[in-house]
Amino acid sequence: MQNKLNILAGAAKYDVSCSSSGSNNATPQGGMGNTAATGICHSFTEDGRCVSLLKLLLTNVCIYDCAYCMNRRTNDIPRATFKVSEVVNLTLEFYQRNFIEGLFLSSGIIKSPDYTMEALVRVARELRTVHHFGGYIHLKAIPGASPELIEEAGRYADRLSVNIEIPSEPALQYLAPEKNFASVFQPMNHIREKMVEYKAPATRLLSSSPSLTRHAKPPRFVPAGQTTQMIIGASPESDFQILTLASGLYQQQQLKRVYYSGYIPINQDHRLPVVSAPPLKRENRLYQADWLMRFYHFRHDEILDAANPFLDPDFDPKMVWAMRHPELFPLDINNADYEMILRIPGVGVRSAKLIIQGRRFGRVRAEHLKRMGVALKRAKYFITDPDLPRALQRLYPEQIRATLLPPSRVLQQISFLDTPPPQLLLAHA
Amino acid sequence: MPSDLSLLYDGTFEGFLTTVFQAAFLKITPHSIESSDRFTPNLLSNPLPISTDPEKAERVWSALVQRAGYSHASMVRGAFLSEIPGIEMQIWHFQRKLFADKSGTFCGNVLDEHVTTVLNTARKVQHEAHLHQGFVRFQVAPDGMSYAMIEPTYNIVELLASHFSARFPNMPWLIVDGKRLTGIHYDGNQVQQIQLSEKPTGLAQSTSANPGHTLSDNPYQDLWKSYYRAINIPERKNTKLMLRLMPRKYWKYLPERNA
Ligand code: SF4
Repeated sequence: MQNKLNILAGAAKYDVSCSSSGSNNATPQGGMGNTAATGICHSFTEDGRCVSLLKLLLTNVCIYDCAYCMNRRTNDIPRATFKVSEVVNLTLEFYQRNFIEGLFLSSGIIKSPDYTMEALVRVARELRTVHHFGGYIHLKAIPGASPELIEEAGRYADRLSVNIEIPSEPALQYLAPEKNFASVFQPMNHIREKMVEYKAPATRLLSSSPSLTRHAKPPRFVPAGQTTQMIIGASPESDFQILTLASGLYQQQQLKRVYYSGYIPINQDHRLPVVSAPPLKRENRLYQADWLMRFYHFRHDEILDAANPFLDPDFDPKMVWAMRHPELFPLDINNADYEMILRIPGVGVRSAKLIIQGRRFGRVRAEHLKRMGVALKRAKYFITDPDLPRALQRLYPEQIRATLLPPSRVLQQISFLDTPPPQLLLAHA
Repeated sequence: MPSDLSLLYDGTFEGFLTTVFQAAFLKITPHSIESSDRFTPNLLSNPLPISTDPEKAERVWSALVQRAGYSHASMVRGAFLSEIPGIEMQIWHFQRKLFADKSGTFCGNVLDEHVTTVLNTARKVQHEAHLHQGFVRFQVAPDGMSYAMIEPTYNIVELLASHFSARFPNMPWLIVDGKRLTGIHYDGNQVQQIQLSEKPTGLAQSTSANPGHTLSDNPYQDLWKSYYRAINIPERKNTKLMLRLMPRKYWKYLPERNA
């Protein structure tokens, strides 16, 4: 068991999604386990990632040969396969000890997509129907599996995911000869359609005859929605291409999350780039940009465009956007509307709401902002406030840039840009 | 009227509410309100012990719920559980302003320093409680009872009751705060707060150095530890981030970290 667990957890770890959020199950009668809408982390590994779900492959045997994957059939590695009962048992025992929020189950492709999907469904079915398990279940939807199997998976799972892995079709076909975009999007579309379908009758019932719905529990279908993952840096796409694709996935496919996974060289393969370390900085900037699209109402083409196709390694994309728009700042937070306040660097969703709320009681000033959780270190260049030095808001973008960079970088930056150091400007104002 | 009195209570929320009642009755603004076991007298201090009276506490609590609403009243309780020195007077000022407010909107005034202090402190406490929904590690004893020990910075153990009773309704469990020697016990039916006279050493040790102990639950702890090791990606090592998200002070009862 120890050995199998090592192999099949080790093989699952490159799927970065571990979130247990978005679902609100109550504990089933006679069973154990529920889900918390916000998700719960139970531990953190040394790489700083949240451990929430028991993340396993059912097997690391695979008939495919994707260049970037450890489990591809041409790799000579130890292989293992779990029995359904082993995964079920491990999930229940771990859950009971509060080690985990639930199970994330994926698999290499054995025999056929249907055969594989059927095995995944069997685990979920047993957990839900035999053991009345109410914890979180995230299953992989195997591309090419039959719609019936995917539908059944969706009735047991809180979340389903199909990974794109490679963010452009030519590169995907080059690196994963057995895959193409259609094979990924087809199950994704199917899941989205089913989600709409399962939601519809419940709403109809509720509005027409409330007495009927009291006992009828609407059937559930992936209440926490679907997600996907893209590997960053295994293929040559720009950040702009990646964000364009992500934005489409959020809008058209209604995905809950897109995960970005910095490419880690696992296999020697001439089709793959030679890198010394995973592009963690780039990955982090993509997450920040993704965050801006999901919570700050930015469009992807406001963050990047064809002329600026890569995110700035030195600054977060919100700061970069603000520096590119000196005409919109500084802003009077006592008059600006919510959407603009949300765009001030250093202001989060919560603090933006608090600013709006506070305005009903008086003028909001810098001292209040601090207690609301605003990072004044960044925000001070973009707002007018009697307590802040006026000169700060007259800095040109290049000077803000220089002020915020660590000292060694500033020197480089200033000589490069050939502008006076920011202190000089302050002294004049 | 400002006074030089330090009002001392027994450390419980009821005791604190009783003290608020008495201060209002005496029409004074005390110099401080402190738990008697945390109070250090000096030459200038003028302590007055207040004995806890559930009835008076209840009156203050229902007035608080009525004026502030349940969610803000819970935040007051949350802030109180932080046990941060001086938090009692911050809450006292918050309540004084709340009861003086005629508009009924006081709790929403995020420009007021006492509102934000109560709000921000309650948030820190809530955050630590949320972390412990994940960090609690049960060991299952042969009799089917599950035990866990935690040592949170704030006094959050009671905030875990509803989460764990909802999640594990059919299994009896006990969660102990090893520092404060308080705990919550669920018998399969309801949760009760308990007070321990001494630290249950067996439970504490069986998590690490004492594999032979009757409470040890090693096979699954060992599997959990291997799992934890197996999912780490060495190429992504980021110890600083891990320490920020899971500070060392919480490691003592986490089998995957305490070896
Ligand atoms: S199909 Fe999945 S498991 Fe198989 S080689 Fe490709 S990525 Fe790896």
